[in-house]
Amino acid sequence: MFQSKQSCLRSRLFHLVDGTGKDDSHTFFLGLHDFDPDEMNETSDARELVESKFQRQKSIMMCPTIQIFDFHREFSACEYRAPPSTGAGEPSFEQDEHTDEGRL
Amino acid sequence: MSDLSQCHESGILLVHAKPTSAGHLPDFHAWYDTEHGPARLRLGDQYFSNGYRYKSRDKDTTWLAIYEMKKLSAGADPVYKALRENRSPREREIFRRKLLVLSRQFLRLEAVLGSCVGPSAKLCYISFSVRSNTAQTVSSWYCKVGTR
Repeated sequence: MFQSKQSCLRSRLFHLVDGTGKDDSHTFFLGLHDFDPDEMNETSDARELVESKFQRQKSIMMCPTIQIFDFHREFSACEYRAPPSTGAGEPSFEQDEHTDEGRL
Repeated sequence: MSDLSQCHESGILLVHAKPTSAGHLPDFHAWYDTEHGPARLRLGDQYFSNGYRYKSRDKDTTWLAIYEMKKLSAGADPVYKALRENRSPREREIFRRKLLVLSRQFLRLEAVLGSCVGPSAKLCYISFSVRSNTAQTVSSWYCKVGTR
């Protein structure tokens, strides 16, 4: 949607498979556009750009919504998951046959 | 069997949330940042690759969470569903008294243009619905217009 603007780093288009708003007679689309804030500081710029693009399709679109969001925080995988085991110097958790039988 | 369990393509889990009042914001953030979000990431890469939170600029602030998924079908997996079915006492309290809105959507990735390493500082969110018989046309239009 905004690739003509250098400030847009990435544009993604999604469609709803499941969840709030799911309706078999309609298809819900979501466009997410990542911006570099150093190049685009005004929220109104993004809004005007989107609305100008939408004008020709407004008649067939229902409930169009445009919102600007600021990044708040990240949940990174490395923060919440143990790193992959190298196997070196670590105790083995394999059980021998005798132990397995004992537990059954 | 839902469509979700059959969707093995990549996508996102999108969550909109809004606390009942500004006074509940600290509890909402503490719960989301230390319990709710981390619990999803701990499930492993086959469920959620990473997660990002965003704040809307509207006067009526909403909070957005985006979790990237390699396979959307993981959203129908019992392991993920168990997180919602076995809520902690703290989470039950948040849902009962401190959350006005919490909507959940699983969305399949249709098209991507450009690249972005990590989360961007600003996100423009555009949503709309069309009659399903025009969806293909609109999708093509969006991708075409969006690349000019």
